[in-house]
Amino acid sequence: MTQKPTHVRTTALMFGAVFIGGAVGSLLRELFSVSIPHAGFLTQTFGINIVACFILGWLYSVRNRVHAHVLHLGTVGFCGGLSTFSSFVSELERLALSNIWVAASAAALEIAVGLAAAILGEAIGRRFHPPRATE
Amino acid sequence: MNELFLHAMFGLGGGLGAVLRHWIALRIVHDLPFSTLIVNILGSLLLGLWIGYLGGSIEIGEEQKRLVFGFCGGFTTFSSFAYQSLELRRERTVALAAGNILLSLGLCWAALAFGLFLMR
Repeated sequence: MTQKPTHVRTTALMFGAVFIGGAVGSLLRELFSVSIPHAGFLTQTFGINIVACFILGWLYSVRNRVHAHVLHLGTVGFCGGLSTFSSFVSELERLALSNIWVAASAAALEIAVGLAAAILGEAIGRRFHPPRATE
Repeated sequence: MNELFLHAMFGLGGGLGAVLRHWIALRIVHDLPFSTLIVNILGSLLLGLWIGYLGGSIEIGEEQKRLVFGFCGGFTTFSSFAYQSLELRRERTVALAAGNILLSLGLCWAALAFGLFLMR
């Protein structure tokens, strides 16, 4: 988080929001990783990471409009819990066992699509919730 | 009931991971997103150790996965990594953004491989 609002004190409520968001995000991740069949040349984490990037971009486009606790619940908690880097690299490792180039292209593709999803989420967020004139 | 308990463990792990990640992010205040990088490396190392302990990334039972996979997944984050890369490109330089991506990918992969190696 490069632009953390400094006026927000670290409270139990803040960590509570992060905990709830992280727990819900993790459970959704578990649900999707079990129930969604995936292509063999992609990582299992592809779909959830893309969705998390999209939601995060959307949330950051309205970051000045919502309460800090809600922002923490959504960004740090939910999106952070939904997306995962550790399972992503372990999936890459699994792909690399059979073919290193498949793993490398899966990594490049997933990161590129993730960045695109975050940009798209931000653009849609700006379109639906344009900044107020006073901001 | 047993299944419910496993889901609860997964959710608990994810929640605790998110809280610990946020705590670290509040401690490490820096212009560059080092906190996300460190968190992702630590989470990957832990996952590598655990997968290695269970005996390879292919054959792992569902029950054994729960708490540690929940924790590592909640602890590490892909979305913040992607968004911070975008912000680096927007506010700093393309080179920093590319460096963040390559460094994250390389170091986390190395951390996972190191964890697997230690448990061999």
